[in-house]
Amino acid sequence: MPKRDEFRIQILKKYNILDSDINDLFDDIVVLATEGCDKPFAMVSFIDTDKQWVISQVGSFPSKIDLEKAFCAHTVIQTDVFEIFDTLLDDRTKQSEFVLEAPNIRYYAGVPLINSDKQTLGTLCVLDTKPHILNKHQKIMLKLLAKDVVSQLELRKKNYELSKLKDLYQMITENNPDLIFAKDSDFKILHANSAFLSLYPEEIRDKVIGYTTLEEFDEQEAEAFLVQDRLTFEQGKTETLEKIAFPTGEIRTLFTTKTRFEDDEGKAYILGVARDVTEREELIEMLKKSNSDLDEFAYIASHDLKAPLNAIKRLVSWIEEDAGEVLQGDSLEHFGMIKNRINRMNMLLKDLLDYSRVGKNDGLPQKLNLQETARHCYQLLDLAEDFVINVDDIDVVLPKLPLELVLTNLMSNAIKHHDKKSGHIIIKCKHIKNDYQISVTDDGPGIAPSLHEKIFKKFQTLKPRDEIEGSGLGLAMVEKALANHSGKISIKSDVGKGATFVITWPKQEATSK
Amino acid sequence: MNISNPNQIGIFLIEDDDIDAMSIKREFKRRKIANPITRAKDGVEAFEFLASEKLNYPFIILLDLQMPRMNGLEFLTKLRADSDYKNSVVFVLTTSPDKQDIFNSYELNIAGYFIKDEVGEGLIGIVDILDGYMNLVHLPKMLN
Repeated sequence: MPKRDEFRIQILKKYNILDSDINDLFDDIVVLATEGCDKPFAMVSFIDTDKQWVISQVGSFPSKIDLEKAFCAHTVIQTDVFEIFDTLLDDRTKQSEFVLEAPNIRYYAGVPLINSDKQTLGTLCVLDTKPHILNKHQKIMLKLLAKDVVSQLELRKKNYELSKLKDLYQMITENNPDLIFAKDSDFKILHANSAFLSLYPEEIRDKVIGYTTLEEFDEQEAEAFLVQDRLTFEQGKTETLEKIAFPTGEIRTLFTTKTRFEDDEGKAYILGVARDVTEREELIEMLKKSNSDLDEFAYIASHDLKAPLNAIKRLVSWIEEDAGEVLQGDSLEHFGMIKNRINRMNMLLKDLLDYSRVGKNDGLPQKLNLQETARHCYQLLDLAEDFVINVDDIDVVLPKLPLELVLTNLMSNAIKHHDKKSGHIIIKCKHIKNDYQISVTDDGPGIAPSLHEKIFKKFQTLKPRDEIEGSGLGLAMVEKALANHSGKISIKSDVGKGATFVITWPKQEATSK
Repeated sequence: MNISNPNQIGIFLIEDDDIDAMSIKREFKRRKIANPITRAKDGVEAFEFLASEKLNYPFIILLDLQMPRMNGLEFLTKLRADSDYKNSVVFVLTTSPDKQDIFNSYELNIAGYFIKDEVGEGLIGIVDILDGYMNLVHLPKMLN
């Protein structure tokens, strides 16, 4: 038996027919069938491989019938109205207990119930105790009623699937850590998920849906919500990052997206999705603080280290003034090395100080002539070497200080690391979509590709400082200055082929002339 | 012109840094300026000197701002409230270019605010001014 029950259960499940409402589901249809066909009996049944399950009937047939005894077994193997005009004259039925015993059936007409997947689920049939024949209209009606049975079943199936889908969406919404809510044009909350509700104290949670809940918030905050809501109704979509003190007393930072939507009648609503970014914002805050602490530390350290160094410098110069003539040979050389190291230390501290200040007072983007800016930087370098600098005569809109810092460092590097006393530097600028692409090319000794990554590191020099003085902070400073403006720098170079530094600098709006 | 005897005017240097103090003394020596220099290491020591008989000549004060115990501005405030020394001529000599420091110092009636560079090379000009000043200035006589 389990197999048969399984079939029945499967169909019942598929069409969401519960045992409790199964009996009267098609009662109207069987009554209509008896009246329309003018027959005393009618039934709707499901049919599996060896049983007929009677669901609704007019009459008193058993609720399950062995398929070998069932007339309907013949109906389900075809698709049209199947009639047995006189059961006593038909070989298939004349021995049937339903014919020979009460209710002594003499006439049968059945229509298969075929669903949209072309599966035959069962039958709708009418029966009589006298031989008969259905007229054309009765046949059509029987078919229509069979169709109606199937439509009802399919509708139940769809409803069931929909409710399952709704359950799924409900589950997704309820399990979503984001706060999800919908408001109407009176700012009343129509829907809210549990994440949203949990921000209200338990005793007022049933006073959230259907209310604006604005009175639960600080006046200013409530006003800010309304401003944002109005803006959403106007513009269709808004995004805000807001710090909110919730009725539970919790203060959270939310990133809220509000989207306007309309119902069938054109009434506007807001769908809000708010992501709790409190932890993220706190981390960002902490990072900012630790970065600024580090900057401050570098600033103070380099500043405070300078004072004793300057004292040493003065003392050394006094010794030189007072007793310079006493120093001879190695001592004189060592003395010179002391002075040299003092200057190097000074330069390191100065660059460290500069590095810590990069990006502090960059100022706003302004219109600058690249050629003039580069010339000015070159002059300030105050170098003895004779270099030819070719610069594109082009206007750019960039913050002045970082541009000068970048150009000065790149030109100074090109000259300082050049293998000859004179050379050529070419500075070009191209517009590439929303970026400036500035390139600084020299005809110096070039840098091996294996070292390209190294040169941007802090305190990294490629030659001993005794050969070329340098703090090793120049390119690190350039990279930092660019990073503050979402810019990037890269190098194209090889030994003996000069070097090209390519800067990509996103364009910004000019704020002053 | 009525020129007072420069030997009678000296410098009361209030400076915590030995090398800075030495720089000034050295520059005076190098220029063969003979006016006496007395140095205190901070405001507290300066008042101890004023209370003692250590400064037995008319003086102008050369005051550093950043000092331990009693800093320059605290010293100035106390000095201006002191009945004996409220009229003292004070020059500030400091590394601080801070606007607020400059403003506050002049509020306490200083004669001039000089910023010493970290390397001490600007000192020559400052010593020039002090030299000329001491040669020509008339200081208020002590009334006691």
